[in-house]
Amino acid sequence: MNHARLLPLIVLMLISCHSLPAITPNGKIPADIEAACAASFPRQAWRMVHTIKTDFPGGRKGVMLGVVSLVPGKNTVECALLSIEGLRLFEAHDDGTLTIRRALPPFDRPALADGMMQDIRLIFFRPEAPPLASGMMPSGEPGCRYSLADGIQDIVRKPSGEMVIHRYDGENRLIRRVTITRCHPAGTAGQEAIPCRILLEAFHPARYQLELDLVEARPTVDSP
Amino acid sequence: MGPTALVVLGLVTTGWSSSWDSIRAAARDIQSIQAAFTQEKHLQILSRPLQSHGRLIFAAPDRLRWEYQAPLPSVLLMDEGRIQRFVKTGDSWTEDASAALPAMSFVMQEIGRWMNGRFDENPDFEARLEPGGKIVLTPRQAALATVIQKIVLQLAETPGVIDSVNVYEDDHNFTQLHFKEVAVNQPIDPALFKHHS
Repeated sequence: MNHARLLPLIVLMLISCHSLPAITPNGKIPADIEAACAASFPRQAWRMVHTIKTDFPGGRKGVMLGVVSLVPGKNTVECALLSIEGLRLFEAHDDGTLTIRRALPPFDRPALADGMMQDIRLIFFRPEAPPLASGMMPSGEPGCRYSLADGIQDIVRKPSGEMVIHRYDGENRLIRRVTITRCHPAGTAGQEAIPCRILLEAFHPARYQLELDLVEARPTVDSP
Repeated sequence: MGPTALVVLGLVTTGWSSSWDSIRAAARDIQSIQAAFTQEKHLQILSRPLQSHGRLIFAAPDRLRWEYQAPLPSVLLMDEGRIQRFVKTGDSWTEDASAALPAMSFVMQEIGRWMNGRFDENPDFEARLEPGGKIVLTPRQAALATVIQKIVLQLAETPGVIDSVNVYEDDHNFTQLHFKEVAVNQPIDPALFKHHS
């Protein structure tokens, strides 16, 4: 095989090979960085209502209400999507097995329910396994790296207090970036901080963007 | 209040709502309705209902403005069959593509029928008129019944006016709308149905 034939193959390999940003145990790494990464996610059961603003390709925008009831200790989540007028468009329960209770068009595509539940878990549930590594990200911010069954998840703590999740697939492609601002909503004094403002950017396989803003939240003791 | 007064009161409150014909006749006199509303969304996965409020404006025969002031300011407009929704994001209003969902189109057309007193004209629902001005709409097809179990409307004492609407999706999930501060046949600026203002 001559060099002319090899060149396209090399270019193809370079394009298809993605690499993760390096995470190094250098610099001013907080001693409790791994605990801080884990503590970024809710630990107790919550019921939350968010407005969800969606940006689709082509400039179309959509707004809905999202209801989520999660019990991290049991790894279970229920969710519902409502129109602004209160029409229940979608509802599902996931305790390891996804059960769709209601799905009106266009929310009746099975892939959509799977993707929605994966996004919810990415936002609200910490990875099950302990971090693969922790240290400084290339941005100079402390973070943790988790190995998942089908990829990698990085959690970065910003100096502003924001948490940024980078989710990579098995080919190390960045498929999701989630920026989370936590707060203590009214009426929840003494409780843990929860995600109040969330920006989810999806890059693969479909491109879309979701902006979630908290409407109300209540800690719960009963399970979904 | 004596028995005679009760009978008279009963005739006044149920007179216009005693038959489909009288309901349609009352609706023919309605040129416009404006009302404030409160809404409670009861969901099985919420421990207490999600509350919202806003204003509803109707102009005969088919123009509607359904405006939520909280928790998320938005306005749904129906004008000459065109349905648009605008949502307030920050300081500006953005058109929302989800107003074009099939389910929303279905809901808006049904509300348009109610405002014209044509509660019994949707072939998808069996309409039952009960004493006291209570209307119960039940889906005829099993497929629709999985989406909406029934709709219960309570007519007001004022002819042509609806007091409340309860939409039951199933035994555990339902929406309650209550109307108040109702004004009938007051002038309405047509621009209110064109775009948000």
